[in-house]
Amino acid sequence: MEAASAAQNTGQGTELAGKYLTFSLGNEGYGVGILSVREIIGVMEITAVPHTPNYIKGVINLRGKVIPVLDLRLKFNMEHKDYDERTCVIVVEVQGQTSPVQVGMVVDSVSEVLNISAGEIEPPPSLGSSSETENILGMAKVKGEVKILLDVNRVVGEGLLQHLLS
Amino acid sequence: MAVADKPLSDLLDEVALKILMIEPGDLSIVGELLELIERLLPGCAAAETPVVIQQMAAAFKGVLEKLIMGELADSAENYELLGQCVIEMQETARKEGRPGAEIIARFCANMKKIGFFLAPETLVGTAGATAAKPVYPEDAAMIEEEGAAAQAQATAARELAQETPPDFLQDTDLLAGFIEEAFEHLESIEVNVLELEQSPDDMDIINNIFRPFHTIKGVSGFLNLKTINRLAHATENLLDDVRNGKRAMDSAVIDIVLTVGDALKSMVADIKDVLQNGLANYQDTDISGFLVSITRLQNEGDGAAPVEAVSVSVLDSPPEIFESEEAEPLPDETAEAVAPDKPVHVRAGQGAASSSASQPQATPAARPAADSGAKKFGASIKVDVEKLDALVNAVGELVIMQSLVRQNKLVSRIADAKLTKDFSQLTRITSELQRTAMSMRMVPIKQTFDKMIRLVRDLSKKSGKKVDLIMEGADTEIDRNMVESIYDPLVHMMRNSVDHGISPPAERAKFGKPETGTVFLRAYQKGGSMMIEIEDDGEGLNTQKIRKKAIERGLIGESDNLSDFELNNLVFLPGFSTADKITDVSGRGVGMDVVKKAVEKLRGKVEVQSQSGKGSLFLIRLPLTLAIIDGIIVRVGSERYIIPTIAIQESVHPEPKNYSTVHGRGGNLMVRGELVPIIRLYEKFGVSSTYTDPCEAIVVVVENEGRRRALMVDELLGKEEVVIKNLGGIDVPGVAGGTILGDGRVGLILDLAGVIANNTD
Repeated sequence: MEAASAAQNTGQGTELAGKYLTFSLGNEGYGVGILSVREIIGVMEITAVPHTPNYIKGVINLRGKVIPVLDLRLKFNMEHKDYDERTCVIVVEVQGQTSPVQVGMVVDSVSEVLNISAGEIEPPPSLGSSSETENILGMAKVKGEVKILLDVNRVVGEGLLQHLLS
Repeated sequence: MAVADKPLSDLLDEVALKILMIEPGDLSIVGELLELIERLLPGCAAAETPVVIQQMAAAFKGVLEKLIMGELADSAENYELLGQCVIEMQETARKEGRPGAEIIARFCANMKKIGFFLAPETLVGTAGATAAKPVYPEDAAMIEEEGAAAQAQATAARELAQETPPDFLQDTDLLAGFIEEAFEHLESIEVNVLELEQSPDDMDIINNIFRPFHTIKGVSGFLNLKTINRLAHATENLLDDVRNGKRAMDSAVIDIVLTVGDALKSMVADIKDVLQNGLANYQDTDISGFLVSITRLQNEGDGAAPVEAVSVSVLDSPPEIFESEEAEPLPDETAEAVAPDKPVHVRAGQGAASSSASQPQATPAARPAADSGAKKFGASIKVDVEKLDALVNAVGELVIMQSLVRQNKLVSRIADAKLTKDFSQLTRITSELQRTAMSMRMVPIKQTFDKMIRLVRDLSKKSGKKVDLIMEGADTEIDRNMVESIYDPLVHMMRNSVDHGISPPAERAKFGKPETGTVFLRAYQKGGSMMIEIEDDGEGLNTQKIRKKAIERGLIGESDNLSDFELNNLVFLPGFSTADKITDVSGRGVGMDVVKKAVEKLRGKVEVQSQSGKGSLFLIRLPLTLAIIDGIIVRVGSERYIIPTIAIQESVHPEPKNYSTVHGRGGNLMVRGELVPIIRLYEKFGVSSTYTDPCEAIVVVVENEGRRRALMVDELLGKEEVVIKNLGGIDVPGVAGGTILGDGRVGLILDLAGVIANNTD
């Protein structure tokens, strides 16, 4: 049993190793795979869109393109925090229904890009609710801190998809 | 010989491999090489080995022998050159023994470098080569098959169909180009054939059909698309016989040309599929049936059935009149039948009102000159659609940025006359640029209309009814992004007209109508929108039946008092069909609501006007372009929304005497004698607004699908043409999209159907 899960561990770990952009929400540190990140911008005026879940803040004008923006705190059912000068929007690209779409995520602050190796990654904890564990690819221990590695497709894609289905 | 079974390409591959392994001084391998080459020599080679390969092999053998004898240098360079020669031979094999002058030249040049002189002319395959040996002229393979009896031909074609897929994927650019052009050619063939039906003896049309087949045959042959090549070639020959008078043009020929056209279309589509999705999707088509029929037709010669005039006459502005009748301009496109005295007739249709592109003119009578008036034959180029879209996007952003700069507070404070002038100029240029970019997206609706010709012809043949199709305004331009989406609704409505609208000739005669029914297909621009009309002079809608059906379905009540117009437009509701039996064309009750949905998806409207016994008129109104919407910007609180101008009837500052509430909620406004419900946008969108009392605010009266509402807003900010952008994945009822306003912020464009629908709870 132990050996099997350990083997599975390292197997998964190697898949997940790579560069991650780390950011923070409150006291917690998170990371998303650098390949999905398109850009990072300071928070700007968001136009609210009616009849959308509370975590979808609205849309912004990104150099002529209109893209939706989600608030990750609200998505994860954390307390809302007012935006300050450190608040950023990370624009990621995920696979939409027919083509890639760009979506912005509001986070408290952005840290750095870390190169995380397989050995530093552990499987996600079972938090009970399956949807939440699905968002998390794994836990990384870097420089004494824990970073929660997010599956951007699930977090963002699921957010929009659920809305479309509702 | 058993060795003959080995395919040529494999053999050449082996040779290539062997050459790679040769080291100077290692003559044993040269010996093995010789053995392999032996199999390609004249006299030993398998029957299907192209002669030119045999000759190349002979030269090759010559070199090898000289190498062994020491007459030629046994050096690495020479072996390399030999390797090149093998590559040339492989190329030749791929091109089925017709390598072309270039390859021949290279082969000989390489041979020469080694020291073996070989005259290019001796290698068969160069243009105009007249070798003593049996020559394989270009079409040898083809002619052989056609000369044979129909049976043998069929078997040959069937064998062909079982061959391994041809390796025509070598040059994908050329192939892609061929596919596009082939589709165009096939479209033009179809249009011309249908014209030909009206005048079977017109040599010009026959040539117009012959030429594209010839081109398709040529290019497909070059690209090694064997099946397409053979079919095109066979048809080309048939048409040639017609040209030369060896065969009369009759309905049998026309039918087969049409069916061949269809088959070729699907074959080209197959190739396109392979190009995009891989060789696994390759499906060869069995053309043996076609080849048999074509040969039979060729052998029949004259005396076949005369052309059955299935009267589908097609005209658009400007008219190309073949048999001139009283070709005066029809007054206002009324369907008054210009009485024909021949069964096959053609009428002049004048383009209506404001046809954008070419100007229709009242050209009476006579055969028009070769360039009939307004047909603009300007030069045109092909541009990748992606590039075009990128350009249009960039121009859109330019317009926004330009507006941002102008509105910059610091800039607007500069009170310099020259600056103001320059800015105006800048704005003018940018607008011009945007207009031009937008117009590049427009294509004439002709291509869609042309497809209707074939449809109506087939439908009328199938149902045994006689139908005349008159098209007007085919030059009217439509946004290219709409072309695909408008095709299906049009097809549905055409089918309805022919299937339900027009009655069989006997019936029509009973009612005193001409036996041939008429269907009008018109396109024109009116008031900033594009209008498409489909009018028929058939039975018209049975309003009573509709009413009954609607009551049955519970859509209306017995006592509901609806006007005929409203009743007729009920047919657009889902599941509504009053047809007694289901034909495979329509009658399943899915037609009209699908049409409505499709049209509304394009932000258009569709309605029907009908008179029982006289006919029906379906009217589609579409925006000129999907990308831009004309709207009024309104402010609610700190948010800005755009209401499409097309829906706005008026805006008022309500007076207390016109405002009434029900139970202290809701609210109605008396507008021109009618009570219109008020929708408070701040409530709807959850924003805080400046005013909550309509009488302090402004109300915009809108209409959508016959429903009127009064939208309450704080302020009207202006009228603008804005570029619609979708919301990047978010789909919200009531919001059609977003746009970037002058100050860089996003404004939401309202979808009135959604806004009103949500409110009726």
